[in-house]
Amino acid sequence: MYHLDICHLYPDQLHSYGDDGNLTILKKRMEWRGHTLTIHPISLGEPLDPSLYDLIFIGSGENHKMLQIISDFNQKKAASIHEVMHQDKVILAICNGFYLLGNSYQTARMENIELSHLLDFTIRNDHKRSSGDIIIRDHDRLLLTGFENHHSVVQLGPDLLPFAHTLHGIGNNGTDQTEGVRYRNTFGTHLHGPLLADNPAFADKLLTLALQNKYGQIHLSLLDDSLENEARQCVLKRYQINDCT
Amino acid sequence: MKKGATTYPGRIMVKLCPDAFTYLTRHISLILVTGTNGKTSTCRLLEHILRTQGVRCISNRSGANLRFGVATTLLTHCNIFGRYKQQYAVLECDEGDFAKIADQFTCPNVTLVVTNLSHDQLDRYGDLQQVKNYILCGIECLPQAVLCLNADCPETASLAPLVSNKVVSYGIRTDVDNDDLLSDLLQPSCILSLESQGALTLQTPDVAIPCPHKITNPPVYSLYNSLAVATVLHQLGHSQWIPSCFSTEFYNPGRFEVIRVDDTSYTLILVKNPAGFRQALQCLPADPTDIDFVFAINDRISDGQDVSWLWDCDFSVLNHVDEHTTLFFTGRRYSHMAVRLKYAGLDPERFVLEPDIPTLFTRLQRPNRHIYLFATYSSMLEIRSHLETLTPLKKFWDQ
Amino acid sequence: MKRKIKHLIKSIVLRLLRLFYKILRVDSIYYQSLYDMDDIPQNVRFCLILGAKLFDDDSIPPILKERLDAAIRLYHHNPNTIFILSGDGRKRISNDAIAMYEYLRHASNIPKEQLIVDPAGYTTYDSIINLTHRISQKEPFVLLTSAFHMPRSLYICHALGLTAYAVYLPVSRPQAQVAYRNRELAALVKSWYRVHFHTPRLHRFCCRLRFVLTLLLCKCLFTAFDF
Repeated sequence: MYHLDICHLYPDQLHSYGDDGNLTILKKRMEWRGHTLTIHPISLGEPLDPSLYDLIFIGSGENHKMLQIISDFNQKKAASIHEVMHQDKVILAICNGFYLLGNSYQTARMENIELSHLLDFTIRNDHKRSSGDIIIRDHDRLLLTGFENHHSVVQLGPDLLPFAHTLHGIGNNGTDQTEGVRYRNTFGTHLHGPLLADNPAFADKLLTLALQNKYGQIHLSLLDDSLENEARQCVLKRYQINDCT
Repeated sequence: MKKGATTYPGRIMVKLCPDAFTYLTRHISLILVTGTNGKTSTCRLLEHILRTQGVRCISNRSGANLRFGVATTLLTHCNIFGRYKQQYAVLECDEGDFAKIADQFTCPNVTLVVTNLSHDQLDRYGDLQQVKNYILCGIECLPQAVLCLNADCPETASLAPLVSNKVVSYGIRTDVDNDDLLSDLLQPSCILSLESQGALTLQTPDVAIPCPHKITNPPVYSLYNSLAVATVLHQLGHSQWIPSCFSTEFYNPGRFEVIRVDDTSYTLILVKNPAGFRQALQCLPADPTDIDFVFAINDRISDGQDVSWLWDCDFSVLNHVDEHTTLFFTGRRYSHMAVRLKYAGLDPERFVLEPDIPTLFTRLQRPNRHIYLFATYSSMLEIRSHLETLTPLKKFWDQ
Repeated sequence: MKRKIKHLIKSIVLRLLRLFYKILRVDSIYYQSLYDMDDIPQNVRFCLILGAKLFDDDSIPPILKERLDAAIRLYHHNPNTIFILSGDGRKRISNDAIAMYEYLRHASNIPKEQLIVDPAGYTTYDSIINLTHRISQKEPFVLLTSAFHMPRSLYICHALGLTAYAVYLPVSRPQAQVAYRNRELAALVKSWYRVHFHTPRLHRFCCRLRFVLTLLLCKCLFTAFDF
């Protein structure tokens, strides 16, 4: 019987767009296999000790809320996250959540806001809203579907890998077909839906990585994902993309 | 041109004559209703009461609440001098859009109602703060307007200290008050008291008005709609009509509309956002038997293209339903809704997935069952048009 | 059939508008006033930046951004330039005057003493007339606006007896140029009228006339389509 502890950062500020559903999904998928999972909220002003947790989750939220927490993240959380990022800790961050890890954020009025510099990418506010279904293929050839809704342009630094490549939709900037960021076991992406709802294979991948960090080689039993797969097929059929995996 | 899409005249008006609203609003009293939920129901009830009392008014139809729809409604009723036969215009206004035209309103009497503010369609206005900003911007353009605010909604109540307008607020108090739930931001001036026997009394600053009503245990959200209308009537000086706000049973399509086809009865419930879904689920009978559920979720522009909002809804109340209850899923996002309920703890064995609406109805026809149908806007229209082939219904727009 | 008549009317109207454009010699005024950024004399102290309608979410559209970026280049050419940002500053939202100010404050080193906001620039004509209230008639200035907008704006300056230096800005939205050009042709008539015949009373009368005619048109459309 396994147990995982998840840290939910800024649950009061970054809690829009249904992304907290990702945590519900992870929890249920553990429980259905007979394991347990506990979620620990860490909010504005509270210290963070990442060694206590197996997975760190940062949701997305409104822009002005993100601006409120930037200095707290930079001063109180970034240093400890930097350490565990290089130790393969599993970190999942959605939209504004993963922006916190970047270098700088430029607002619509050209104001430059310093971020935590944990990963090498910049974000710029754009007048175009990127909103719609998005289909991506990640580095493990998993086909993921979701919904993107942002008006930011993300430029990756030369050495930073994207989370996935877009087959349909805008992704980071609409020009280089990249979507999100990836470094070791840190994943940042724009996908709402929430991300793990249509993509149970990726949810299990996150759980496997976290469990392996904690327990060594483990084996997760298979669950009946026919509903989730049907939901994903629904989106893929709309844009005539075949799921070859 | 399809009915329900009648905003083209308004679009042309606004395009060719950008200051049209200065002329259109000069000679009529405006009652504007905005907010996340309850706009349409509040407008309909107010319009119904005014009409039955012989006061002529105009109103915009469901879905025509952007500036183009408002323009269309006004221009179809006014003459070339900008004058109207009617006394009031009861207009449903989109929260973000009315600020764009509010500075043109030359009407001397404006009453603005804000029913509630919560997260609505994510892809349209992702930001509640931005919505509040727009509303405040609109209010700034109307310094003479009277605001009717829902004191029990924290976000709405927080508007009061930020404006210099006259504010008339309303709220509900019961015998057993749970102080944690009520916001202290604003003390309502029109209070609806719910006594434990079910009697309703409206306390205005001047007088207490008893409001007998026929429905036992009315859903709370509809009480708020009636209360909003009562506050407006009090503000307009027609307090004698307030009791009819609570005793009128009037036809509100898609909002708990009950339709019978042969032996099966359907309750149609429109859902648009987490707050609305929560309110709808709270109105389910306490011990449901012989019921089935249908979830018809679409993702067109009118429904909200991003269906992530379903994950902000709490569906735990569905766990208490009877084991014989079946859950049907239809609409463009049928499987996404099924996934949501699977993770809410419901057993997928009881799910029936049928994306095609007419086929779904052939499977639904079971004698002596009551079907609760939760649908988003466009799927509600599809369902009603299908039901219309089975039994005559009042049209969605004509009321 | 209906479509053919519509098309015919449209092409006749456009022909008349183009003829009007030629009569007023707008193009020759335009080419006379066109300068390269580097050739603008250093004694030209003022620069008028014309605003543009913001997007629905209050963000700055590309046709406005190009004007502001040109202003930054002008500042590097002549650091003593005083910029007048003219737009519609009546409300807190859709306020292009303030949006221009904030953009320049964040994107450049232009000190705030050299940025003047004119919140009453509701139309091109208003922006230019407001400038004459701030600076002397004889004082030359740089006019910054998008390429499609420049000919009409320069015509207004010329008709009012002002000396404007125009800088060519490369076209940022080629796909919209035809629509912009047609709109400018129609707007030229209104600008010509405002320069030569405008009085507040006549303006009010014309606004009301416009309302009545549009109302009748829309009412006809409404009855025609809703039968």
